[in-house]
Amino acid sequence: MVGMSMLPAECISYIISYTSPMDACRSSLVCRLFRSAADSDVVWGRFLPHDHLQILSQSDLASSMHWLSKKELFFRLSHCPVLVGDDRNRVQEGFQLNGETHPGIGSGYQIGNSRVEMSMEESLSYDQAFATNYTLWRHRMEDLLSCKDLFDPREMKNMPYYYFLQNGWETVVSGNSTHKKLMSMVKDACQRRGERGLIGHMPSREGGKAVELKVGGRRKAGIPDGRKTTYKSTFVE
Amino acid sequence: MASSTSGSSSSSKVVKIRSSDNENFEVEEAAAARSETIKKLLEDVGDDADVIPLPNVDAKTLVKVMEWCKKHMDDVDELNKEEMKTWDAEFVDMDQSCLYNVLLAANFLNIKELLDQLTQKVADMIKGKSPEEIRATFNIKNDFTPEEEAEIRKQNAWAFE
Repeated sequence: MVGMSMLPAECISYIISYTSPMDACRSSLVCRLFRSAADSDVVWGRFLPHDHLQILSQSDLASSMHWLSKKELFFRLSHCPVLVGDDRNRVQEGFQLNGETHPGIGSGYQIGNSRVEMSMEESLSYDQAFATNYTLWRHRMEDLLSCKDLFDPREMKNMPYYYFLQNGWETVVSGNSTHKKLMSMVKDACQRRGERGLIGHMPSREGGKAVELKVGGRRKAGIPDGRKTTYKSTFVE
Repeated sequence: MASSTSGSSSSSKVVKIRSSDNENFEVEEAAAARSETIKKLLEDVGDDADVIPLPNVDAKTLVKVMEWCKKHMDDVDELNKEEMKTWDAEFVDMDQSCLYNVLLAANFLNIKELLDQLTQKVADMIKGKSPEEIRATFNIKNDFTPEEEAEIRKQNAWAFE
């Protein structure tokens, strides 16, 4: 057969590494040749930050890294960002799974009590990541993968949730609604708008609490302007 | 022996290359040297080179590759960048079998920039497509059993939401 199959698997891996994590996952369902190419370390190594080995060498993941494939590593990091270093010198790694833009990776650093700006691709809307808003990061990662396993933010039971619309924040729900119910409402709202939503629950630096919920903010195919959505949160005592 | 090989060679120097189907081509050395493989061969054999055989590349493909090399022979200045971009985009717009042949040739001849352009071209044909659409685009037969397919779909569930 003349076609793609005349290319060696390494060549197809190389091609797939020029796509995105989502495209790579979809490619693995095409045929056997594509699957072995799409799951290879060549592909997923390119989706990870080039210095991931160095960063992760300080984490508790270091011992298991050599037997994880790069794809497994990628998903593990996407599900659970890891904290590396000790408490006084914390580095938090967040990995964005975004099919449409460049496979973006954001990392935030917390060193002692001072914060260090994160280097992230511009389509990401969070300006800083602190060790203290780890929960927010976690949720983001989960949101990007699936919305199934978000836990109920127990301490927030009676707090209202906000929902960002074009013209501002709106309360979606308050009181005892579960996180999952909220999540499905957000998903519905997002789908109507042709966007994916983002919800976060964040203990603030001030020791107060905030709930934030976000719609859009990431460039997706089909979203006309790719506008940068602002980050906004409401703090409560 | 002749003088050392250091220094730039004269721009009008011509080298001969031969395709897998025994067609000979004369190309400017500066163009041929866009290929790291040819460049290295030239350095190894020096001025004694008669014809450089390229057993992995047929004539039709070689013509294409050398067309690219000639265009990219000189460094591009700012003014010509846009023009070059357009030219490159038109260049990679070829039928699929031709695309793969040139891609393989670029790989063998080690022309990184060309390889990147072609790879990006094929990657763009994959992007945003479902597995079914990818199969249709590249005329690929699904060789998974339904059970295997279900399993892989499960493993990569988030990509199919």
